[in-house]
Amino acid sequence: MVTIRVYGVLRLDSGVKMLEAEAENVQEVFKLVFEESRRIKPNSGITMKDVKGCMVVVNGKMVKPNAKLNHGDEIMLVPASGGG
Amino acid sequence: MSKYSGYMGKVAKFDLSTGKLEDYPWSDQERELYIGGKIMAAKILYDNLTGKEEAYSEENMIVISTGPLTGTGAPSSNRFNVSAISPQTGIIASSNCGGNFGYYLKKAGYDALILTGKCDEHSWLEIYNDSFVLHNADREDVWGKRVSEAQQQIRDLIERDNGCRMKCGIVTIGPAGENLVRYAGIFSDERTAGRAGLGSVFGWKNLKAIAAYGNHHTPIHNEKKTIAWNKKWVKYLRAHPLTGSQLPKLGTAGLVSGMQATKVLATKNFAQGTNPDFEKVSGEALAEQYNIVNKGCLSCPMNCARTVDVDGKEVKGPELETLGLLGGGILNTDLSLINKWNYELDELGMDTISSASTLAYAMEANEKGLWNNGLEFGKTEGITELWSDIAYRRGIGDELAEGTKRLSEKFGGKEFAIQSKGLELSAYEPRHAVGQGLGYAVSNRGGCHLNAGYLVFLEALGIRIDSQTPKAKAELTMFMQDFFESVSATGQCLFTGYAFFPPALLDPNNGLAKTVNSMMTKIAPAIAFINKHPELLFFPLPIFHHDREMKYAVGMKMNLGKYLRVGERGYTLERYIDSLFGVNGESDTLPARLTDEPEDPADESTKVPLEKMKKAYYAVRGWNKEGVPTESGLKKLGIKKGSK
Amino acid sequence: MAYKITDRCKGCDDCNQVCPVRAITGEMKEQHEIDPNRCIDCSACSVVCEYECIQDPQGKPLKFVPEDKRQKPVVDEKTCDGCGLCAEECPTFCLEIVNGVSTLVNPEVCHGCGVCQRRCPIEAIKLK
Repeated sequence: MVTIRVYGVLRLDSGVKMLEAEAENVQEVFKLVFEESRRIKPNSGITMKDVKGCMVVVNGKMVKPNAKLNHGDEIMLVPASGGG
Repeated sequence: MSKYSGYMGKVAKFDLSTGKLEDYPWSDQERELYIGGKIMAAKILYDNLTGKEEAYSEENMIVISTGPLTGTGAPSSNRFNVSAISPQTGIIASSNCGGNFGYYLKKAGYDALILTGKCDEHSWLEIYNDSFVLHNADREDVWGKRVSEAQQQIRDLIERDNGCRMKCGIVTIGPAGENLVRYAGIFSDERTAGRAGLGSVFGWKNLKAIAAYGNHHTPIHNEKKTIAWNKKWVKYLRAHPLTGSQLPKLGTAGLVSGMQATKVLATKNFAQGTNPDFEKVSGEALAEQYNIVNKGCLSCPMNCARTVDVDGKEVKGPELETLGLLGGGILNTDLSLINKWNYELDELGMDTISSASTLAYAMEANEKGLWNNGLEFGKTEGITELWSDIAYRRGIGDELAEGTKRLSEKFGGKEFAIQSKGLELSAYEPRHAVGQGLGYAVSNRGGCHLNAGYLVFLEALGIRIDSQTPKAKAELTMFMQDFFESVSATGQCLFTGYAFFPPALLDPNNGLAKTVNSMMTKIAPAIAFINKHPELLFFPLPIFHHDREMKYAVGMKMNLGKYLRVGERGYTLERYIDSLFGVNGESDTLPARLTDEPEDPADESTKVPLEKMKKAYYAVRGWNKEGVPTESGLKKLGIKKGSK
Repeated sequence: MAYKITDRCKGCDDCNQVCPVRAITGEMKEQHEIDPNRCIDCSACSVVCEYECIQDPQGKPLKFVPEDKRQKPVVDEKTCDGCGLCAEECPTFCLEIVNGVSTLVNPEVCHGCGVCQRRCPIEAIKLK
């Protein structure tokens, strides 16, 4: 079981804020978030590319999209942002 | 008059001491070299330097300038700039604002307004076309008022005198500016020229406010082509993930979670780059719990401003800096308090960044036993009243009104006084974005994230090049500084610059992004070559829209290369002016916390290798080893006359 | 710039009544005058001048628009980006940005002068 938290525009657009699920790697996390978004907001227009375009942080550390996960991991998905 | 459109063709020089109005000469050649905005202001200040300027002196001129695109309807173009010597830094400061004053200054027929001298009584200045009238601000009940009340009072006075409601642009200071709080801002509507304390320069000059209006129109070179280009550019901005989605939906506040993820979220007076409670004070929380409606500056399609409810009133919501520094910065987790404080600081007329940073310093000084002031991290009771005490200089507020630098000189703790050249840093913790650290240190107005070049966008938040290496950071800093300098000079918002980075670069899985992320820090010589020879970038680029807006609306031939060169001229000129006030490499500093202590004790690379980057930066800029522009460099840029 | 009133003026004072910036002066039944230092070229006056004696800055005589034919701004909500220029320019305070889109909030005081349409940088407003 891992905890996934979604941030930024992706949270607003996908409707997914937090998710607890089984996932062995980051790719599965992307899939879970995408499917959850389809379920909550079927017409959001969110694509898998939007989900995969995020930075992935696991337990406070930035990881690559092919990283493996362990039970109890805390995952943040954060899209790029700019401002000032 | 000018052969170019966009400009009104006139600059007013008004002496507050004598009430004398003159036309200040400003030629088309100067328009080509300096465009407008902060660069124009720097040139005017430079040409009039007497060597006697101090922040609080009659010699300190205030220059309020617009850009040629202000008033043309170009996207995000109604910004104006205020430049003068800053009471925080003692050197040139430029402070930019998205309020409508610049728009109305052009309606009065002026591209810029130069204020000299000092009013002999509390005053406010009314400008209608060529009529400049100083009114007594005490008799007319403007002095002493909070910002929005002062603006309303002036609107009422203008309505009374004209016999009808008139549209006008107002800049005003609050009680903080009147009482010479060193970080007092200047306010136009709800927007702020907040940084560097220019509000207290107004206050010292006894000038509470300026209202401008008139019946001039900004001329447009080719109306048809300008409209077509506006449409195209607006469409592009609205389709871009940052300018079309993140900024409208979450505002700058949306950066908090990205900063947490990349460890650049300044927490507990920059002791850490992450805040375990960030979620409570994030842009998402603001959007979900408090935001009423998205708003924007005049002429802007992005609408990145927020509105929130404070005591039953719909008011401006906090920006990222305020959220970060008044949230994790002082270990506060109550977002509704930040909304309230943000409003209170605006009404009192103080810069939220410096206010928050000064408070964080004071809390740490108390914690470390250097200054027994009763302020503690995480303790929020009494802070609302404290802001008032600062603005009116009561009790410890009188000390806090001096800002971080001066407090650290008095009480000690320079290593955690988070300022550079006297200006408090913004909410970006630079130890996980070392190029941002370089920028903070060399920035012309002191520790500002934007004047710094905003490399944190390339190193963490938008694009993801190696954030810890010093490689190529000097080159990229120069590029970004020059680019932003020009965007600002035209009157446009720096945020239009984000769309310069194609969406593909923001997606870490994209092939192009992967290549750029890994290559960027390895191609320093190539970036340096472009910095040196921007004229090679003479061709139009689909990602760069600013050049053709200048061509169609102003009638000025422009390309990315020329644009960068103007930016370099502006940046170098400000640095040169700073150097005449004693600034050199030794002034380009960061507090030891950021350069000597790794943010992550297990990773030595998480501190800012400032000395190394500084050397590279001066070399890339072509300045001497002391960090001062050379005579030949100044000649090459046309700042000084003669061949190089 | 500024509009002008020609000698065909009958002094009916209608223009003075609508001028949003009080740029027009004149006694009843005498030729009125527009102060070029105040006129904002909005055309509110010419819309109501049934004697058609008002000229634009280029000297072009302007047409009277009967009350039932006066047009009001209609915003193309898809195109409008809420930049606020029309609202800032509207001399009678009729337009406001509501939920990110320009909206005619005071239709009863709108003269149909068309400043909003002329100043919109992306042609999102049409008088209809």
